[in-house]
Amino acid sequence: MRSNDKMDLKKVLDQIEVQDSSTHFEQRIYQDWQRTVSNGIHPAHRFSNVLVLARLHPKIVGLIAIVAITASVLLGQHLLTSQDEELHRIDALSELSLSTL
Amino acid sequence: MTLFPSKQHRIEQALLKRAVAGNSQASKEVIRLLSSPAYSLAWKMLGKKEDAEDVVQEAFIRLWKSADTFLGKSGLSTYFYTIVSNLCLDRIKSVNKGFFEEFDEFEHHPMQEIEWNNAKSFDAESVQKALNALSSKQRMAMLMWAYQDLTAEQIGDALGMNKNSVDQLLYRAKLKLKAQLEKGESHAIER
Repeated sequence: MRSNDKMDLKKVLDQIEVQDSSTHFEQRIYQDWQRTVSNGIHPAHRFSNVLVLARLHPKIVGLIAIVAITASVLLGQHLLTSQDEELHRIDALSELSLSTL
Repeated sequence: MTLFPSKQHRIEQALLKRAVAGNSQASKEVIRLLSSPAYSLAWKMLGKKEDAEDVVQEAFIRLWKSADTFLGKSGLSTYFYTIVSNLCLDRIKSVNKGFFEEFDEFEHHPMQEIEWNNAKSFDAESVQKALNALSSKQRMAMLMWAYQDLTAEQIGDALGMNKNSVDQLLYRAKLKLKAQLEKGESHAIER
């Protein structure tokens, strides 16, 4: 019922004869738009395209951040343990060489 | 409004993004899509060509500035018409503040469905006269409701009113418009 009411009202209002806009009105808007794009602080300058994409896809960004953090933690752990192992190996070799002497 | 952008809304979002990035073809397309209906809406709200053109030009600059916040959850035209309506509202308030506030609707009437018999039979001049007989607030609310598919709550946000007052405002606006149209019709018959 309410949507019929709205449709009928629109039909009534659509009959108003709107005064034509000036000639070249669209052209003027286009020139304004171009001027704003070239003069203003461009949104693409404020946020690089990557950042614009990041704002549009926060879940993917979150996932990438978690993966990056996990990978760096694992890599750090691996480097630390491999350093320890290397030290143990050198110790063992030096002990071995000492014992053979 | 939907929670996730529809395919059409995503296309519009991409088009706006290209236009904002300076793509001339996309800019022309956005202007071609929006300028004419927006001008028509502004003209119906303000009743003057120069004012309507100024508002639409300003609205495009606002659209460009706020393009980042358009996430495609509503149609681009709905988003743009909201900017246009708000600018019209600002203009009406600044030009004739007293007149705008004078017509706040406080009386509450039981609302009934309004029948628009022969909706297409009224001539353009009498519809224009009937619309002009409404207060600015009534006219704004009615045009926002009819053309932008805004809910009473959303209109209330724009006009600074609560939902119930907007319902009353809309109802009385429709009643008044209908009464004016019927009055015009009976004058025409008498003549």
